[in-house]
Amino acid sequence: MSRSTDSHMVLSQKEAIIIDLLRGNESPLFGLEIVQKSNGQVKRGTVYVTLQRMEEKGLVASEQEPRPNPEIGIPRRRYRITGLGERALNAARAARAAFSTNLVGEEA
Amino acid sequence: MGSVACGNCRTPLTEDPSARAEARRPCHNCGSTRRHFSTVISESVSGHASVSTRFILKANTNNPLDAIDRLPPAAKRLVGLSLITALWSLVQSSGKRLQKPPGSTLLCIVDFLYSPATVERIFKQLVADWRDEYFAAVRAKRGWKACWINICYGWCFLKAMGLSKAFSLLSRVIRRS
Repeated sequence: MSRSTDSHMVLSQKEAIIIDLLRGNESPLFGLEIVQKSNGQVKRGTVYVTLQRMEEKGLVASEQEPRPNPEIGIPRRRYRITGLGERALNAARAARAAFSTNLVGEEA
Repeated sequence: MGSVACGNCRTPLTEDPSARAEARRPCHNCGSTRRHFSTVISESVSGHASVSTRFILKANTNNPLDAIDRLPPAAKRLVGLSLITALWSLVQSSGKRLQKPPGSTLLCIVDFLYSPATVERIFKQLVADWRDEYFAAVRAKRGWKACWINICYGWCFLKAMGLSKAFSLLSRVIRRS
């Protein structure tokens, strides 16, 4: 694996929370919905910055919501998890589990 | 409506005030063709402003328009001022001022500072959520909640711009000094 792909596997805590929320939902979510479902773990001010970073890494994908013609205002984007995002989350969880197992083993 | 009287003996006459001088009939009392015109000017506005001006013009002239011209200058100014004030208050009270939706000014600022992709993906999404929650509070007639939403999202906007770090740095510098 290349170094750049390895770096994609490193998830921050917020990224892991967002991917977990997106995976647990069948339909794509808006940023505000992610904030509301995270129970305060993800803030409004940082959610879109994080989502943009994750989209650049390829962990999530976004699409503009379909709007009927007469409706005005800023069109919002919905986010869904990608295959790479799921693999990254599984890898992060496996790494965390292995780390905690080794730690318990050492303590014993 | 004005009234017409003889310009010589002040006998009230039943005559059209706009009639030409050549078409006037002589006064049945003294035979004079001079006329005296009385006009009442009144203006009032209800609502935020109420202006009422009442003048009674008495002028000894052959032409009713001259009567207005012969108003004393102070009276003319007062009439003009009252009309202007009445019109202005009508304009102010009848039409509601155009209000910008929340976040418009901040969007203009970030439009200038950041790339279009960043503005589209981060700031416009934030403002869309902001407006969604704000108008929901306004529809529910919860004014204080709407104000609080503006404060919260204003701070979130600054955080997204990275300015919150500048504030924390400034507070550290102030504490150390």
